[in-house]
Amino acid sequence: MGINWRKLNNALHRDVGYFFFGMFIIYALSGIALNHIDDWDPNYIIDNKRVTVEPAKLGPSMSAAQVARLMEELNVNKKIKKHYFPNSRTLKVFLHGGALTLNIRTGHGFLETVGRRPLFYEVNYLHYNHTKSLWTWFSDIFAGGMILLAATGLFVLRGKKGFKKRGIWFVLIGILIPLLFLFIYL
Amino acid sequence: MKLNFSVLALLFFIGCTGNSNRATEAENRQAASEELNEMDVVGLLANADTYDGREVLLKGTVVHVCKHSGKRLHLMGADDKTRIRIEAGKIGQFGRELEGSTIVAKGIFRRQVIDEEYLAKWEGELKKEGGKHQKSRDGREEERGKMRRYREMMKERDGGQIEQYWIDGISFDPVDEEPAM
Repeated sequence: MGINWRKLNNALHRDVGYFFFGMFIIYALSGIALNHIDDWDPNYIIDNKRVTVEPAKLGPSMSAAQVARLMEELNVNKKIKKHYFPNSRTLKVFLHGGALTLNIRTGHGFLETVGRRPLFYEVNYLHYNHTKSLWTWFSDIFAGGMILLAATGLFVLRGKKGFKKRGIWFVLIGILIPLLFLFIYL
Repeated sequence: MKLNFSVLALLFFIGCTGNSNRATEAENRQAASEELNEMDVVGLLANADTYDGREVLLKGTVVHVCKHSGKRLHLMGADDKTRIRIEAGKIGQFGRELEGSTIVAKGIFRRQVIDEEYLAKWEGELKKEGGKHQKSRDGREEERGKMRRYREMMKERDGGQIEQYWIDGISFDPVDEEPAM
């Protein structure tokens, strides 16, 4: 009894496709985010706002209570982690979700708020493989699954819309485009 | 259908068994780290010779996380001045949320003495053709720029040498502390 290769091919394409649907979405979203890494921070939403404080309220040594009052006056409702003076001119206050940097002589500075970019932070975390755990194996299996999906996809259809008559042209164009970019830019 | 899922199940099994050795290694590291004493950055750098190449446990405040890659952070000691760089290494990446947090980091302490002999050797490697770290023209220029800056720094120091310190990170844990206010 021989193996029905076409039936096996289509079954693999279908079931591997179903199984890895989620992974495709994760890696596609993360890929878009990383592709535009020069335009945005793919993991964090960062906002910078200029602030000004009366210099008289600042000094080269300030207590936690004084810093807390300063935050209230600036309407900063984030909890303070720590404050310190990186140099004789600067006060830095670390907040949960940001930081305030002030020139203690002029009173000028900026408030930076940092928050994780929803969804993208999580998909990037997986794509970068920061877990360094069983995830490494699963994502390697996914890579193998993608190759399997690509190969089996060539043979799902038969006839005039199959690989031999129509598909081959799309495949060739799809390979030529990245080769062209390599030729131009590499 | 049965064949497809059998293949997938087999692949998962291979992945799971491959991970069991890593779990044992992690347990051994945990046991070893329990023997290390927590140190402050100031204390570590004051005894740099003693700890060079050794595993250390360091507690401090994160004052900077590399914004571009998250591959390194700067840890500040209790004096609010002394800092040391920690490379993410096996940790992978440091999150920006760590800035301002107190952490206990485990890693290997590294010390590099930069003197004229070191720079001459570096220059020699750069000139070699077909060297292991073949660099582009821009890359070589950048490295020569670093060498020039080191030489300028060395002129300002007694003894004509600079010492660089960093930690190759292995793991870290945030310390739960009460907020300042």
